[in-house]
Amino acid sequence: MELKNFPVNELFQKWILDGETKLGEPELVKDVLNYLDGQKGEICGKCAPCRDGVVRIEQLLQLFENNKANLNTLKELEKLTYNLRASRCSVGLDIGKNLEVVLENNYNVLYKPVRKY
Amino acid sequence: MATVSINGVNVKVKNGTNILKAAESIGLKIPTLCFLEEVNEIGFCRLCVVEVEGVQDLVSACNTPVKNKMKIFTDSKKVIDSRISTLQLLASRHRFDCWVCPKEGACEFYDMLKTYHVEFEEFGPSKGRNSAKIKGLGVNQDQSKCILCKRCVSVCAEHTSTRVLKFRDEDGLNPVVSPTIGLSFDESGCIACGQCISVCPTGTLFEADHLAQVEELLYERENFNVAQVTDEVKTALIEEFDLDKNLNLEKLEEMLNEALTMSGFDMVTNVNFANDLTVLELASELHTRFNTGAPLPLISSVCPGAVNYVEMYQKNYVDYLSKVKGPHTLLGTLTKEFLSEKLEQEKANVKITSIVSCPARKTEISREDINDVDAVLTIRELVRLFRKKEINFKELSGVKQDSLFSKASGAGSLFAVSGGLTTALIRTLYNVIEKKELDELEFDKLVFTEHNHAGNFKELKMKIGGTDFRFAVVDGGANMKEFFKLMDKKKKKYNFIELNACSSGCINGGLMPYNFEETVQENMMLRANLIYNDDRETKEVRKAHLNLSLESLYEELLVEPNSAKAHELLYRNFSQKDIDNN
Repeated sequence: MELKNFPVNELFQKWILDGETKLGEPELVKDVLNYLDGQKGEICGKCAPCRDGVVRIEQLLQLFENNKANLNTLKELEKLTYNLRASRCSVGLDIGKNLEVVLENNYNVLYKPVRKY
Repeated sequence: MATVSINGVNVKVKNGTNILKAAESIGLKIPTLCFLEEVNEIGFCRLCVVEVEGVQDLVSACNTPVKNKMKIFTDSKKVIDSRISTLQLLASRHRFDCWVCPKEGACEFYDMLKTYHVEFEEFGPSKGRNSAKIKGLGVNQDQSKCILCKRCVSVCAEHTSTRVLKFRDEDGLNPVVSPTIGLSFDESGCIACGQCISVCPTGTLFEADHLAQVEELLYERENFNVAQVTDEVKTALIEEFDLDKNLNLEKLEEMLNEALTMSGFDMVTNVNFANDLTVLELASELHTRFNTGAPLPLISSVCPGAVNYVEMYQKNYVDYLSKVKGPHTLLGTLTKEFLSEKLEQEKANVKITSIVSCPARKTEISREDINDVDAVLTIRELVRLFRKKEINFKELSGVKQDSLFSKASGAGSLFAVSGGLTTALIRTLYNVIEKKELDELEFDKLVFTEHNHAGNFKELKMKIGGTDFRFAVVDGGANMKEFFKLMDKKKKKYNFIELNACSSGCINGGLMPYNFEETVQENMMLRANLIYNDDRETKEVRKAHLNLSLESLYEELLVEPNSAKAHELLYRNFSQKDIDNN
């Protein structure tokens, strides 16, 4: 089976299972967006944190990609990521946990373009 | 029993109780948007999430059973932050035009946004999830306000059993709740009971608007505007205007008359008068069918939602429906045919507005053979009209009705409560068959005692004229479905069946004031008791056939019940209807 986001899934597997937690800085946002794109097909649409949250997270990451993000973007990204813990099923919960790992281990990468000083 | 700790308070509850109920037992009200007890316990909205010690993720309180020694936190920072985030997400795909919203301020979603002081940061309020507006003669939908709680879908399936509204999640990121794609509610098999409207936490589902049309009628100087008022609407006034709960129906009727007259109506008539007439015609129709061996049971056609249900979903029973028109349409016919002449008004200038409690009556007036009622207002539309006319309802002292069509018996009042029509019919049927008066006026098996979301099924057997007459009262579409299954198997035989599309009858009509879970029982009993007290304490005459106004109507126009003239004016036909319910 060939998945569009296969390398990204493999990468996430490494983060979670192998404890290899760092993403390459230049590709971080792009890789996470690819990962989300691959997961969207699994979303059942029943609960708001996952159905609407993932779409919003994507939009926020696109702001990073387009150099339009600010500190609020990062705060919102954190909030929506942690809110995936309120999802109804494992699709949302898993996306949330994977994104939490991204945030925890690559926070500096996301913080750098939005910091004020 | 399980012992759990909620926010540090220990509580003992039955095993299997959900967290929401356990919290309620110590006075905590966990917020919910999609929850409807026993109807929609699916944890969709994620607003009732709570933190449980030892569990990584937040769990929904409405469908998570407690376990012994569980430690639950309903107001931790994690929980509150999650609720705010979820509300922000929902609000970011909801169209806010609250000042013109049909919810008229009784919006659960708005209240919750206010409670949690939800502010928008990155995503502001939007134009809505979906711009589609689906119209119908009774029920309308504006999908830009839908928050996908699925309450309406569950009520349509569990309460009404018609499954018109469906949650369509082919695209998980953009699911939609709608009737058959591309069709209106009427074409999709909607019986227009309006229960979906009453449970919608936003203004997504609402009734077809007739207020603008009524205002036009009132502006036209040549028109002689008549308002026809039903009893269930009078019972709703206490809740709508926060009036003294001790007021009786007569006083409420007088206040309503005054307000309607101030609004520009030239005359107010009482649908209870037509209820009395319906009882006489029904008793005669039943007696005739019984004597001639015509097919029985006779199924009441008073509830237009139930008529829609039989025509669309129980087509084999269409011929059993009583041919007598629904009371408000019947009164409309009489007003135009009879009263207009007495009042020296041009028939064409007489315009009739019924004030009722459900959208099915809005669909009823568009039937081919019903053309005497010009518009149908709901209590909510009426309140809007009073506000626009600057009427301070609470301060009105009231005026008595004095038209020919304003006097009714206690039996006529009972139509608004489940079982009331059958009670009224028995009082008169006994007289028609036995030629003497029945002493017993109430029947324990038919009296309304408790509101049940799913509706009720009541039976009564009574000896009249040496024959056992069997009566049945069936409330709610789901009950009707089960009931007709029994009828198909020939397991039950009845002489008369009262069908009500809404559980508890018209007092729980889909367009009555919004009821929240905690007040629904109290409000239903308040409404029912107003009706019963009117029959028991206020009315001197409690039997339809003893209504003197009816006597003069028969003398001057209809001759006798079931006469050729009565058939010409008061009867109608039914037909099987095809639907596309996908």
